[in-house]
Amino acid sequence: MAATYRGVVVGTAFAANKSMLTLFNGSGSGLVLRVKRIWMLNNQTAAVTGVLTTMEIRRISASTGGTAGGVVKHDSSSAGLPSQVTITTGATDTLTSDPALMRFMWSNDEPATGSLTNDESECIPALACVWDCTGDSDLEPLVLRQNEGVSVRHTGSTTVGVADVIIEFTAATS
Amino acid sequence: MARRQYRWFGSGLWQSQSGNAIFALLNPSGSGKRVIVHSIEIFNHKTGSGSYVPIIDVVVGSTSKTDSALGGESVPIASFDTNYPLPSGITARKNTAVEASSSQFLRQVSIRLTTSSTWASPAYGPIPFHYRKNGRGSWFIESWSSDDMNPITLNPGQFLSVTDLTTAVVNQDGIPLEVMVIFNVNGHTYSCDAVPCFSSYNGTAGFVLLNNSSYPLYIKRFFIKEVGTADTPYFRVVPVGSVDPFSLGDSIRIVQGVPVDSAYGPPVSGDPIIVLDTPMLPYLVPQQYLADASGGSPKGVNYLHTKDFWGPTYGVMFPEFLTISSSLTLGGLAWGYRKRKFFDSEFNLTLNEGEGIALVSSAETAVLSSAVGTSGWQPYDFGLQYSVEPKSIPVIRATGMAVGSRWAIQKASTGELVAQGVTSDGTMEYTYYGDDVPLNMIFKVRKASSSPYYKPYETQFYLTADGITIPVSQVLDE
Repeated sequence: MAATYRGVVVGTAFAANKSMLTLFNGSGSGLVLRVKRIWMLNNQTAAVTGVLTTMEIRRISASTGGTAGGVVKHDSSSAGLPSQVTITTGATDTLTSDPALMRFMWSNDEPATGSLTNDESECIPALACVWDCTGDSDLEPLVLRQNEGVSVRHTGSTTVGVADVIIEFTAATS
Repeated sequence: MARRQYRWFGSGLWQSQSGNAIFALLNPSGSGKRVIVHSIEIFNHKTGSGSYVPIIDVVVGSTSKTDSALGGESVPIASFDTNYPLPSGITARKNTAVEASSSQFLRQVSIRLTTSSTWASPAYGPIPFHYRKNGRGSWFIESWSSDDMNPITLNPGQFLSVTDLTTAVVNQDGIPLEVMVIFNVNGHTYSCDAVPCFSSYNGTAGFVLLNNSSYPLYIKRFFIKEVGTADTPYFRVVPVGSVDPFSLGDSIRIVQGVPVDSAYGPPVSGDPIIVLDTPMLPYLVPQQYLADASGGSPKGVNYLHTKDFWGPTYGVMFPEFLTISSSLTLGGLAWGYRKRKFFDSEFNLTLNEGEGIALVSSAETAVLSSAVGTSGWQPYDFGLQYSVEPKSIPVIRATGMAVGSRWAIQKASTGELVAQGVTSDGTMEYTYYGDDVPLNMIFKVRKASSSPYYKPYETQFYLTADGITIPVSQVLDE
């Protein structure tokens, strides 16, 4: 069973063309990362005037800067990730020429109590899973070899509101 | 690599209800492979209301961005003379980021009737009728050689973008607009054509033509036209009987999947073909027939050139024309990732050699009193994930070995060890999941660890998809 990790970015603010979460497997890590699932959750309580905006999931070939996110091991006995594996928000990423792996729309308006609009549906993990390679052994995960990464990007320009982004992946030597 | 997995994602070329498949995935005859389709996804991005009137801005500016940094989707560019391929550095993209610094030079208000889904006819239709100089509706640029003026020029490092700037709502514009540019570079003519998803507020452009070549780019013709209607599409995944052969030779329509693991590399010759916007006939369905339920008169012509079609279909889906909004509409239900997978990973449809599937938008029903629309275009994206593997997994068997012999399988080209073992009953069996076959390989047997000893045995064999059984005859070494 492969060592499994969860990269978590909490309350990252929307900004124009920002990578809300970047997972990058840098040179020398000695690991191959396999992305299984990504969630994006509208976990915010402060009132904002949100809009509908757009997101993309893109492959990247380099990543610098940004604010480090958290890493949680699914099994505390798993090895820690080497420093070459980074989980960040707001990083400067180099996108590959590959087209987007996925585009999706997002409302960054805060959820309300007692209603069920898209703002609230984004708070339900089962509905807020934006990438899923689980459930079938024939379906391969997104594989990140060294010098490869993935970015969950806000391609819009709105600057209000925050979101939590969670990425679930395994790490192995081959 | 015996099994490779790829993903294609994009809005395609045209979401047609007029007979073409939005995309078809084909496993060519004689490919020696089979294709496993894992998922088909449909994404509704529309947010606009029916009365929305977009204002389209066209700007020229300078950018330091590269093609890939602009994101979005690549738009193919065709050469008027195939002897003169497009100079490198000139690209077109749709639904892409663009820098703000620019100079606007044209603006168009696209008119739509507010009470129906019919778009204003003056801006509708083929170029010769509605885009002449003094025509009504949409404007155009025309700058052929007879004009005594400079054409609009994209010098190296400049771009042209087409953006909906009307309101601060993303993808409010569900309007089917087509952008076409004919341009001249280094004395030769090229064109590109896109039906983009016009977005606003988020800084993206529906269409961008980027000149990062060393030549100036002269725009000879440029126009925006409203195309089709905006009916609720009715998507079906159907087996392919035949596909227009011209489409298969048209590089504009052929796209490639992205490997989910870079170790797979790009698709190779013989891999499945993804062809966009192609005329096709479904499997086992004639060009014309009337179903029993038909009223008898041709009320609707669907994608099959038939009416009342109910033939082989893997699945159907109304993604709903309704828009995404803050309320949870039916259109919004096509938004959530888990809800917009047409076929989920358990689908695993197998396409053997010569087989294919297509996503088509067909008539809602053939008993409507009016014909269905000709175009269901709106901001949709489509996703497709599939694997490619040999049509059969070969098994290597050997018999007649002396009990206790060690055996090994190597690649003949590199000597790389594939597998090894010790036989306990004189036989061995190994299922080969490595490279694609046919493949030259070497089988070695030796028994030198205990008496009776045998001389080394070695044979080279040609592994095909049918597998092989090797009769081994060892010689005593005494």
